[in-house]
Amino acid sequence: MPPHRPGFWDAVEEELARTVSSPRPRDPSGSGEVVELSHPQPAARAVSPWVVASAAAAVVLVLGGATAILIRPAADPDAVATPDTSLNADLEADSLSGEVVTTVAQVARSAPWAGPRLLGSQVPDVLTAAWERAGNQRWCSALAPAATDLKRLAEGATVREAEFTGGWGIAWDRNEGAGQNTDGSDCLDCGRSAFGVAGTGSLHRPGTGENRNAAVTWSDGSFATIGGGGDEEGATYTSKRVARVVVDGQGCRYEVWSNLGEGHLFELIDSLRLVEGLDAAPVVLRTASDRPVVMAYGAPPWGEDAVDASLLDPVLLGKWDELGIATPQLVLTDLGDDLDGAKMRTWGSGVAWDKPNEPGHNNQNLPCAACGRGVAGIGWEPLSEDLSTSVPLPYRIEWEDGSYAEYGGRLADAALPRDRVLYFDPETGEETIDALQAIVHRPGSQVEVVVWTHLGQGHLMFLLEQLRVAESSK
Amino acid sequence: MGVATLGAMSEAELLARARRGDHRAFADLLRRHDPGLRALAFRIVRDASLMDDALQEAYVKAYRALPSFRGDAGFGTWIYRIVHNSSIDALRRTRDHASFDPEMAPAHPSVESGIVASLDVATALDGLSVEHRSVLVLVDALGFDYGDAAEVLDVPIGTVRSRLARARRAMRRRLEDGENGL
Repeated sequence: MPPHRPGFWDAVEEELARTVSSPRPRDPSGSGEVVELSHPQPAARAVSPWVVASAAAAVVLVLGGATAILIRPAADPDAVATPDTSLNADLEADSLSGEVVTTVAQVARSAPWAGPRLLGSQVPDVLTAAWERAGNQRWCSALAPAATDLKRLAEGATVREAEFTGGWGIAWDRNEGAGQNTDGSDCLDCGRSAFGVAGTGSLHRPGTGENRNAAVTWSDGSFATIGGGGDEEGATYTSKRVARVVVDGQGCRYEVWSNLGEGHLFELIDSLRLVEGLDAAPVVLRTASDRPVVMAYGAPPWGEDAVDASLLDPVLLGKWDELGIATPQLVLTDLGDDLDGAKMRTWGSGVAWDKPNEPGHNNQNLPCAACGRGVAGIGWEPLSEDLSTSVPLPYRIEWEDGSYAEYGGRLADAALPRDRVLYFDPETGEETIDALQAIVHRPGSQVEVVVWTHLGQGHLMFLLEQLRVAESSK
Repeated sequence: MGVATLGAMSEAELLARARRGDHRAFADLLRRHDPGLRALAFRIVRDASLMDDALQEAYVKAYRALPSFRGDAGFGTWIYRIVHNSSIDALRRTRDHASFDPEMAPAHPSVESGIVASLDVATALDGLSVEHRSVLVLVDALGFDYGDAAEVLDVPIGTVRSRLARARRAMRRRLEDGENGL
């Protein structure tokens, strides 16, 4: 065993002295003592994300469970504070055992994202592009490393968009070192996807118990679990460490990963900030028993701009006549760019749009990868059952006029929120993308409106936003 | 307070001082554990310079994390765990993870320490996997019991036991066959 290099202890003592060179600040949350920052933090206004985003409609997620309602503290927008966002200060030790959990943080401290927001010009363009296309932007604000930290953390790396179905992501590639191949497998020296940040297409579901395994818990209730690194027996280690981060006020699960060691991962998390202009509406999480996930969307999109029914496609009006559907009634006013050129046709209870090479379902109603049949559609069905006894779909959107929509997989039993729900065909053994459907109820209406799409959760949300009331001008 | 005075203090007293922000007390505490920590770090990273880097990083990290040290485990176990993990991180950074690279190896392990007294044993040890090296150093060289080793390695005790058995078997094979990785 070699001795230390000359000056080793001097360097250690110097570093230790620097660590305690200033009086210990108090935790802004008042929950306990905090230690010094691991790197300098700019003095700036600590503006809570939900204050900045207050102009947007509130989004409420109600999740299965008991009673707790997480209410945001009333933040004073004029308050000036420098939050201690150091995650490293919490780091007791890390784990290589593979599964989750490194250390349970004992002292809650302000989350990195409570720090000053980044301007759009301070984040990679690819992040803006990825977020603007993401299906989860309504409930998943962009997070990005602060530019000052990025210089150090991403030295020699190039950033690119990373694919996260239904969400957004950015990854940094290096010329060498551990990373991931394009098929997602680990590589020892390809350098690809050395580290990155993503807001995944999965909604967070509180009460699943994962926060019990949190490696770090911040004072606002945000938490992170850490995983990756090898199997239980330690036979094969991968160098990838992944933090699954739940951010208070956001509905999605974030993933932050690094192949450059857990220290790098923690620094990366420490550096994350919200980005001006790339905001989701603030999300409040609460729990309720035997209920699906609920998102309260405020005013319904059909609250204004009624459509003159006489201007609707005669094919649709003919279908309404056939079904005995009376106006006022909900219609879709836009299908989005992805369905440009799609052709409308009728089906039993409404109309559907076909577009070649897009996912859809065949005439046995089974999903297909690219048959292009029934890519999206809408139907109107008279209420015929007692809704109080029906099994709710896993997700529910509520509007302030008392309307609501339940949504989930069209055929698949989608217990978890995913942008694309896979349907397993027991006959062929194949998995195909199932449609997501939403069933919309309005108070006083004796018709339930079914909207579906094979193009993912983001597209379904888009379609719901396009619902308007068609009124007869007669 | 001078170093001489600190040197007379118990570990608990040093720890209490360190918790109050006395970095010299913490450094003294580290010095007491340093030979064993050095052995562990060196056996993982197999390079003197990397060893120092890993230790320096671990010591500072431990000092920052001191407020969260709950004392459920002994200070020794706690600091060994931090050093172990920092060493693994340092090793990863070198990308010398899957294979043994003679260029990265020390010319000769020191025989002075008494921890690894035989060159053959040392080189055979270097040829083992990181997991096997760590468990052998902790249990067989440093005398950790299975519980403490499990704490340091963050694995179940059963895993320490099985890993140790496999590591000893691998060591025996290497010593018998002369397959020492060089």
